[in-house]
Formats: sequence, C-alpha cells, structure tokens
Amino acid sequence: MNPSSDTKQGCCGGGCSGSKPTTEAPAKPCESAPVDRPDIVGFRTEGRESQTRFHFHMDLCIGCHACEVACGEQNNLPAETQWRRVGEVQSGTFPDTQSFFLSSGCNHCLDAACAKGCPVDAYQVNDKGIVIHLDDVCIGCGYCTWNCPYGVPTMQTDRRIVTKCDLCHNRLEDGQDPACVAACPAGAIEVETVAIAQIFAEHMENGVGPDMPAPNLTIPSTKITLPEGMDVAAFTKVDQPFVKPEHPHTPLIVMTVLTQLGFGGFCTVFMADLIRTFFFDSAALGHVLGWLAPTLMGIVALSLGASTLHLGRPIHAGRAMKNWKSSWLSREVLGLSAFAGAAMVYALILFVTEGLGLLDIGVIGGSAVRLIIGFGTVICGIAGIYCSSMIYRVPARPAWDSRKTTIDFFDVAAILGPAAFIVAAMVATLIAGHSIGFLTGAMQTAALFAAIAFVFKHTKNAYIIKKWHESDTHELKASAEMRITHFFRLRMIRNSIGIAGLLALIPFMSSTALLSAVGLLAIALLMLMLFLAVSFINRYIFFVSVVPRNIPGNYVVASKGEAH
Amino acid sequence: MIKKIKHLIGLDIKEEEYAYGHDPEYGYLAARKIPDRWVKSTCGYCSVGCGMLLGVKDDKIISVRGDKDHPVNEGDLCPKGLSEHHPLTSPDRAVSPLLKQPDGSFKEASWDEAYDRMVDTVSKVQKKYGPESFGVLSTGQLLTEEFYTLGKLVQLGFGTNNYDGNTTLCMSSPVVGYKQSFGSDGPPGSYKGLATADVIFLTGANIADNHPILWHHIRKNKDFKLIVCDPRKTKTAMLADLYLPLKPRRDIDLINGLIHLVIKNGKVDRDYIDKHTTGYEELCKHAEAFDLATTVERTGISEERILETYEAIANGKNVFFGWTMGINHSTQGSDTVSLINTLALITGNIGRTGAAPMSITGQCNAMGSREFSFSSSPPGYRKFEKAEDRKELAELWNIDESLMPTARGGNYPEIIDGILEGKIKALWVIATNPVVSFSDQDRLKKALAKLEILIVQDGFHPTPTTELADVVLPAAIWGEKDGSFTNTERRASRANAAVPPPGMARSDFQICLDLADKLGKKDMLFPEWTRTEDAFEEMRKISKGRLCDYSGMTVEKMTEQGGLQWPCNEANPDGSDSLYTDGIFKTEDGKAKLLFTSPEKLPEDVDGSYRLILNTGRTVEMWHTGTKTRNVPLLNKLAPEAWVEVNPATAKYYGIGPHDRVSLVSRRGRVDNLMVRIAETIHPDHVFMPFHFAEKCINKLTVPAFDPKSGTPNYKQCAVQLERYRG
Repeated sequence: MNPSSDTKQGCCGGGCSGSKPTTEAPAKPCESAPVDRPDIVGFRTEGRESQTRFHFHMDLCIGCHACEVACGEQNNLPAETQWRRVGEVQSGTFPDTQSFFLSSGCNHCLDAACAKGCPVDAYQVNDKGIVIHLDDVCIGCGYCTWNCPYGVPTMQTDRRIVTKCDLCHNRLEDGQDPACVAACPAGAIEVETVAIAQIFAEHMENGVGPDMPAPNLTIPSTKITLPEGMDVAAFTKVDQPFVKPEHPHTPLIVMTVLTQLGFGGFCTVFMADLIRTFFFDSAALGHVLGWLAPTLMGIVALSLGASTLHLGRPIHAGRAMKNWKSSWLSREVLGLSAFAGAAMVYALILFVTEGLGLLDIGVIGGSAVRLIIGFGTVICGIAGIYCSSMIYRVPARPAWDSRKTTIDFFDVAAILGPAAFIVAAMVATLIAGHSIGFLTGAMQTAALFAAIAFVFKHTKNAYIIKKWHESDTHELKASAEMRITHFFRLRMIRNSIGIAGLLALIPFMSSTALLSAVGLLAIALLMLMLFLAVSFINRYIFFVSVVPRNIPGNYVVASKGEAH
Repeated sequence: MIKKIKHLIGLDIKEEEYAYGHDPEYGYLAARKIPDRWVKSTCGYCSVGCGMLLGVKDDKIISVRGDKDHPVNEGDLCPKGLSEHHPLTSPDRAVSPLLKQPDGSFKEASWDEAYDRMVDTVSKVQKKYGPESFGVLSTGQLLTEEFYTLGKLVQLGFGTNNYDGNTTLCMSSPVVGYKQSFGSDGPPGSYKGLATADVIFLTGANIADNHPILWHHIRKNKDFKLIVCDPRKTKTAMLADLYLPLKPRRDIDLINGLIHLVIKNGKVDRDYIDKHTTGYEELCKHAEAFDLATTVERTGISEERILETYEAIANGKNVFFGWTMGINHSTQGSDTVSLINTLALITGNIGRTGAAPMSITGQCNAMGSREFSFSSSPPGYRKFEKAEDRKELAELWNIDESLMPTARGGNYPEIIDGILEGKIKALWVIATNPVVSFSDQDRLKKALAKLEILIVQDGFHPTPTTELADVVLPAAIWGEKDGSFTNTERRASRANAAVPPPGMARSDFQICLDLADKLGKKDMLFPEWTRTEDAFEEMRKISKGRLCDYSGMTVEKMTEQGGLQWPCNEANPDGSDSLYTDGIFKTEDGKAKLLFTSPEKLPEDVDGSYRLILNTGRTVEMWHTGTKTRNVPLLNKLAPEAWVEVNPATAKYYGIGPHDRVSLVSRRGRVDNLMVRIAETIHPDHVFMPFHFAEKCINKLTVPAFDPKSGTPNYKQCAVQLERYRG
C-alpha cells in the first residue's frame, strides 16, 4: 500500500490506455460521446490558456466528510446549503465489494452551463478560469440550478439567491489553500493549474469519473485520479435508487400554462379575425373577439406578473433580459414581453372597436393595421412560447431536454386557446343576445381543434413515457418510473378529468343546439376548467418528475429526503 | 416588518451575515467566523486527541481549527472536531440545577438546594442500606484532573466503591487484557508507529469512521501493507490491501490460527520469547489444534487470505496490531486482547516504534480515567488488594489508611444488577447517557425506576437519562474548563477553557469540590484546592515512579510540546514513544505472560425465530449518543437517523426494496421505522445498525451479556429478526 505516492494513477491518469475510454458503458451512447467541441475553446476561455482546478484523488479519500464541514465553516453556510458534497460509488459483491468516495465542489467548467443560462450574467469567469457567482447581481431565478449537470449551484433559501463554490479564489490570491483542501486529512483534494488543452485531452480519453454526467455537457475542469485498476463502468452511485420529486415551482406552473392559454387564445382570436375580415363579416364574432382579447390580455399580464414570484428577488425582475445573447430565460422574458406588448395593442383595438363599438375601425387605420398587429402578436407569441420551452431543454435534465417539451407547450396552447374561444362565444351569445347558430361553425371548428390537440398530446406522451422507461439513461428511466408509480393516482385523476373535458366538447361539435344557451355556457365553462385542470396537473408532473443529472450522492441523506 | 418585506422582495440578501474578512492567521474567511483570539486546546470527542485552536469572540467559540504544531494531528481535524463549537450554544444545554417535582415536572433550583437534596438523600440511603448502596457511573469525557478529584470524592468522601465509568462499555477489556499479559494497563505503542510499521493489522477497528485522523499518520507511511479484519466491509476495510471477512467473534480462531502458523513455521522470535515471556510451552500445545483447515472453516476466511496475513505478520519487521470495539465488545474481550498481545510477543512485535499491540481507545479521556479515576484501580495503576499500594497512597494523601477501599466495587453492569437486586438505592450518573448506551434498555429502565434517587450531571438537558433524573446538575463541557486529556498513545494534552459555561452550569471539578465541602471533607481530600492545576500537581506527585508517570510534566511543557506521552519523568523528560522497550514488564517476574484462549459460543446465536446477527457500530458524523453531534446542523443533516445495512440477497429474501422502512426485533425489544440500506458491504447473515440515535435505540435489542473479567457488554452480536415496517 502506498497511498500517498504520486505515481499511483488510475484510468484517468492515462494508466490504462484506452481500454475504458469513457465513464459510461458503450450502451449509453448519449453519455459516452467524447469531448469534441473545439468551438468551446474561446467561448469562456478567451485570452486564457491555463485553468485552475480541483484535482480530487479518489484513491486517497477515506470518506470522512471533513471537507464538507470545513467548507460550511469557511463560508458560514447554513447546513442546507452545501458547496461541497461527498458522495459514494460502489461495485462488486460481498466480500469483494469496492466503495469509493467522491468529494466535489464546483467543477469550474470550461463551458459552464450555469453561466450560459444565467439571465442576469451573475457568473463571471476570472483570469484563472474560476467560475464566480456574483451574489448581488443574482435575482434568485434558480435557472443555473437546473442547468448544472452536477447539482452545484444551490438556492440558499435564507438569502433568496443562488450561491456556490468559488474555489476559495480569494484564499488562493493570498497564497492559501481552499478550506476543503486545507482540511482534508487524507490529502485527497488539491488545487492545480493546468493547460486547457490538457483538460480536453483528459476528457477525450477518459471522461470524468464513475457514474458521472458525460464531460461533453459542460467540460468540467476537475480532474479525478481514480484508484489503480478501477473498473469505472462497474460502479454505480449509492444514492441511485432514491428518486424524489423535485420542487413544483408553482408560480412557473401558473405562468407557463396561462401564457400558453393566452397565446392559444390570441391565435384563435387572430384566426377568427382573419376569417371575419376576409370571408364573412359577423358582428357577433366581432363582439366575441372584442371581449375575449382583453380578457386574454389580462390573463397574460397576470401570469407574467405571477412569474416574478418565482424569483428570490422579484424587485430585480427587470434584470432578467440582460443575457439575451446566451440565456433562453432572457430570451423568454423578451419574447413574452413582446408578445404581451403586441397583444395589448391588438386587444385594445379589438376592445374599443368591437367590444365597446366606440370607434369605427377606419379611424385607427382600418383592418390592415389591426391584422398586422394581430399577426405580430401571434409571431411574438410563437417566439415567446418557443423560448419558454427552450428554458427547460437543458442537458442536465434529460426528461425536459427534448422536442417533446416544445411540442407540449404549443399543444397546451392549441387545446386551451380554442376552449377559451368557445367560452367567449357562449358568453357573447348570452349577453349580447346573438343567435347561437351564427357562431356554431366557429365553435365547431374550435372544439374539433381542441379535441384533436388533446388526444394527440396525451397519446404522444404515453408513448414517450414508455420509451423513457426502456431507456438506458438512468434519469429518464427514473422519471418514467416516478410517473408510473409515484404519480399513478394523480395521472389517473388527470385522465378522468381529461375524458370529462373531451365529453364536454361534444355539444359544441354538434350542429344542432340541444341545450339552452345557459346550459351550454355552463358546459363551456366546465370544459375550460377541466382542460385547465389537466394542464395544471400535467405541468405539475412535468416539474416534479424530472430527475436531474447529478454527481454520486450520500445514501443516508438521499434516503432521508425520501419522506413519503 | 420592513426588514422582512425587504428580504422578500430581494432588497436584502443578508450581505452582512455572509460577508468575508481577513483573519490574521487563517486569511480570507467568513467575517462571522473571524475570532478575536485563538485558545489552544485538545479535542473532546475521540481518543485520537487532536490539538485544536478555538476561535473566541464575545465569549463564544465561533470557529475551530486543527493545531498545526500539535504532533497528533498537525493541523488536521475530522468533521466532528471541525464543528465542535456548535453544541456549546445549543438550546439543549443544561443551564440550571433542576429538581424533579412530585408531579414529574422539573423545577429550577439553586446549586445549594440541588446539593442539599442530593447529599441529604444519599446520606439517608447510605445510613439505611450501607455506604455501598450509593452507586456512581461516570464517563470517559471528563478531564483527568476531574477523574482524579471525583475518584477521591466517591471512594474516600462518599465511601462507596460501587463506582465505575462508561469506559467499561468500551475500554475495560483492553485494561484487563493488558494487565493479564503485561502486569499493567497501558497501550505500549504510539501513532508514530503507524507511519513506520511495515504491516498494519487492524481487527474490529473501523478507523476511517471512528478515528479518521489516525489516517494522517498512516498516509505518511510510504510502504506498508494494511490488513483489515472485520465481519463488515467497512470504510476502513475498503482501504485495505487485504480484507479478511470474518465470521462474528471468530477473531479468536483467526489469531489462534495465526499463532499456529507462526509457531509451526518457526517464524517466532525465539530469543525474545526466552528472555521476556513465560508460558511458551503451554501456548505451543494450545495452538496445535488451530491448524489452517480448522481456521479456514471456523473463520470463514479463505486459505489464501489467511496465508497472506500470516506471511505479512511473520515477515514484517514492525507489525502494528490495532483494534477497537470489534474485539472489546465481547464476552471474551479481555482474553482476546491477551491473545493479540501473545501474537505480538511471540513475533517480537513490542517495545519498538511501529511494533505494538495497540488498543485504540474510544473516548477523549478514557485513558485519563484508566490512569487516575480510582474506579477499576487506585490512581497511578495501583492495586486495591495490594496493602503497600494502599499504604503509599494514604501517606501521599495524608489520610487514615483505613479509609482506603481494599477491593474494587461493582463494575458498570454489576451496579445495574445491584440496583435490580435492591442493593444499590441511589445512583449518580456523570456525563454519560445510559438510557441510550447501555444494553437491554428495558432491563435498565426497570433498574432506574427502582432507585430512591437518581442524580444526573450532564452538559445537556433533556437527554433520555436526565429526563428520568430526580436531580439534574448542569455541567460545563469541553471548551469551558481547564485540564488535560490522555489519548490512545498515552499523550496527556491540555484541554483549555475558552469560554465560560452557560447559565449556572459548573465544571465537574467545581461540583466535586462543592460536594466535598457539603460532606465536610474538603479539607481532608482537597485542601486549598481551587483550580484543576491543584489536582494536576498532586497527580504528578502520586504517579511518580509508576508506569503512568506524570512527574516530568508541567502545564507549560504540555502546552508547548502538544502534550507528553507517559512515562514522563527525569529519565524521559520529553515522554516516551513506546512502553517495554527494555523487555521488562510489570509482572512479578518482569516477564510478559503468553496467554491464550479458545472460542466460546456467542451469548445469543441465530435460530429459526431470530435469523440474523445484529452488528453494531458508529458513523463518522456522530459521537456516542449524539447529545453533542446532533446539535451540529450539518452533521445532523449528513447522518439524520439510524439505518440498517442489509445485504441485497437478504433484502430480496425478506422482500425489502431500497425505499422501504423496516423494523428490527430481538427477544428484548424492537426498533421501528428504520431506513434500510441495501448494500454489498455486509454478509447476508448479518445486519448492521449504528448506535447513536436515541429515538431509534439499538440497545433495545442488544443482549445483556458481559465479559466476566471486564464487564464490557457483548454489543457486537445478538440475534434479531427483520420485518417490513408498516407504519
């Protein structure tokens, strides 16, 4: 035994030549892709050829957790906020079991996903390559906590902002070791400065460590020296069986569903407006649009306002557009703001001219202007909803990271928009005394559209969940498993509500009105509520059943979290 | 209100609370962790005895650092040490004497009221039932000076010898084992040996969890073989070059088997055996039966692994034998210790740095209690039954020799038995928490309920034990009092007060002086004493010429050198790295005895109803019954509750999955709602559970069987059944 020898290097040190080229078994192609992204050099490494990084010696660590405590003491952190965590991986059967620990702070990635995604540019990379979080800039949106595949940035609830490991860069400046390095009784954590090219070379050849996210996601700078002869692919993280629901982010559930309702609604309004303008002019339809549009506008405004409640620091919500160059969150804020702006003008015109009938359309430029603004509203809406969906498509969260998310978001719009139109039509019919017959065609079209969108969405999702369940990606499998087992009852309730919603659409598809106008309005309202409920439940499941990528964790801590 | 709103809308991100500053010594650091001054001290958790600096600001310890100049740890600390200041300010601290009211509630009282209640009741009991009807259970957590003072108070002041410490729950087997083999207690080696030994053989010792800073010394070792023998594949076993997966209690077979191989292959140190030991012939005869095939069969360890172990020990130049509770917590603990001593002796592995049979102690000052507590032996490793020892002490103390006890009283389990038998009617419990830590809780609680008075002196309240008390005496703890701790390698280090105790709490030393005063015996026992240094001076005087010789120690020298290893005297002014370097032992003839033993049955083995062996132990984040560590938020987060380690095959057999909760049931009780950890770290026939957790108390299950020689409980094995928990 020679634990402190520098010559003892495992696979990552290049000891074994290419027999285990990656951290993952070849069966997981998405995880094993080697790093081949020269475009990244230059993104955050501009003007810098070397990188200061952690070098963790997995072969020396005895799993004592001193580093975690030292980090907390150095930074006066509350227990729930850990900038450094010690996890464990195991393989083999008793008595030939092998177990190793992984102590991990921030990996100070070359292509830091936290920094790219941050809407307010609260991440700075210093001249040593250390990714530093600027607390006072942070607005507490938590987007970086979704983006990091290592679970590094943490929402520090008592400060309502995110905080994370900064490699004790201020201590380095003073010529002192970071707290974790200084505290380790086994000498297992080091800080070193290496050429950036070397980091790429290491990753290309070996990956990062056992049961860790693939290095090509963010190009972590951390080096892990593995124990000699370690069969990396055989190890799994000890906390893997424990999958716990994530935070539901209620303000975001409300915001995403209602903006999608608003967007879908405006699309319907615009379509109806086109039809009305070019094919047959109907005062009734005008009336519907004149009231529906401002209502939708109110909903959109409300939901955007509500979304700031998601922020730790709502007062600084305005900063969120800053990083539009690389953050989908900034882009979403821009897109949805543009949508809300256009929608407001469009809604105002419709309200004043059609809803109140105060001004003649000619006074404000005629139909062309209105339709152009309406078209603009739809385009901005598409952009906004698309950006909104792209927020979730982060590699660190495999269950979100697919086209499915984007399609789902538009799908919700396609269900709720027409549904809202039907309600508006019924209200207009009742209040203004229009004949139902006149709006039947429009309602039929809307009802059919909503029904198709609904069936499409749920059939497609059932298929995707099944595919996830068969996937080799642990996080997808676990996410599917959680939906199937943990959320079984909720999904059954949702399905029942959905079917009720579909049934409630039937009266509006038929050409003859069997029910009184009041009855129909009640059914329409019920139908909208049912579809809204389904959408809220779906979005809730979307948020809580995502299983993020992470480093190996602590079994007891993970299991304790599994309170149900 | 405005502050709250500012916080909610994000104008206030607590920048001040999380600001940084520059500490002159430790550089860039959270401003709230920068103290005004640093006080040197020694850690109050385990027996490694790490040197520390306590950062003090506004009479609070806000930060703890390893002392870079201390030879034990050279700056390193484990997670418990690094956060040892947190429990001092816990709301669970005992801050006022409390008296139990007739309705069962506690009422705050003055010290005088509490002392009067205690002394009056105890006197009445002693008058009625005899002086021995008062029992005292102390600890391994006090300062050595406090042990010394308490011992005199109990034996000479209260006049009872039914006095023992919780050290019997862990360390009394090595005490007996060493006494049997060498004629005296005293671990013969040192930590330096871990850095120089070429073979380190650990059996029943999970140092990675329990003594992590020993790794500081092992990692200095550039060329060695680490052999770890344990029924469970512990963190330490994972680090080993060679792991020996032993059947429970089969260490006796293994050591016998190794002795057999060493003798058979002529790998003994014949010269050393002839000059310095007795009993070799008998040993040879005894060892004959333990041939390789038998050893393989009984231990469950493969022939290959046993031979590799034998080769390493036989050919090693310096073999370090280390053990802890895996050996001690057994009905045969004392004899197993002697057996390891025998293996070390016949291979000549004693008396040199790196070559020693080392019992790695548990508590921070179990050693101090062994040296001076006057419980299992009179101070300075003297003997109760030796008239000249009694006479010498009486003279040194200037007391009437007739006051000296002539025999040891009941040990810990015997005191509990004594209560159950109605012989002991009053009990004083000091800095220990039996209502978590003693085996067979049901039986213990029955005993405590029979007492006429239970006095509990502790730094914390409520604990499961203080809750049952009639009188609670609030005590100062580590960081709040001055004195010394002795670690595993016989190093007496200074533990200093950095802050005053909270509320009305007093040091255990002061409480002893106060009680002596109440008894009217202060002038006789502790004339003019006010500070622990007074006790220290007397300890130096009375230990002079003994194995645990303190005569060469001074507070200044201990502070300067990071403690001193006894014997420290004129001949060894800087202390002693190893004992028995000259091969002369403390027996009558000066020779070590080659003792041996054969394995007996487990006190409780598996059967059709209870099919699994329950193995017990610790986790690095927690200390003992958790009164301190569970008051450290981060440690409590990392080890929030007890778990049961179960082999996947066993889990499958019982239909248990990783999310499930289980119950463990033994003949004596059950523990419900346990987190299950399914892992290949444990044999399918065993389960493991840590013992720190009061609300999921493992000692509801453990068997009340004890080593007849040492009184140490057989914590390590009992038969249990696993059930799925359906809350």
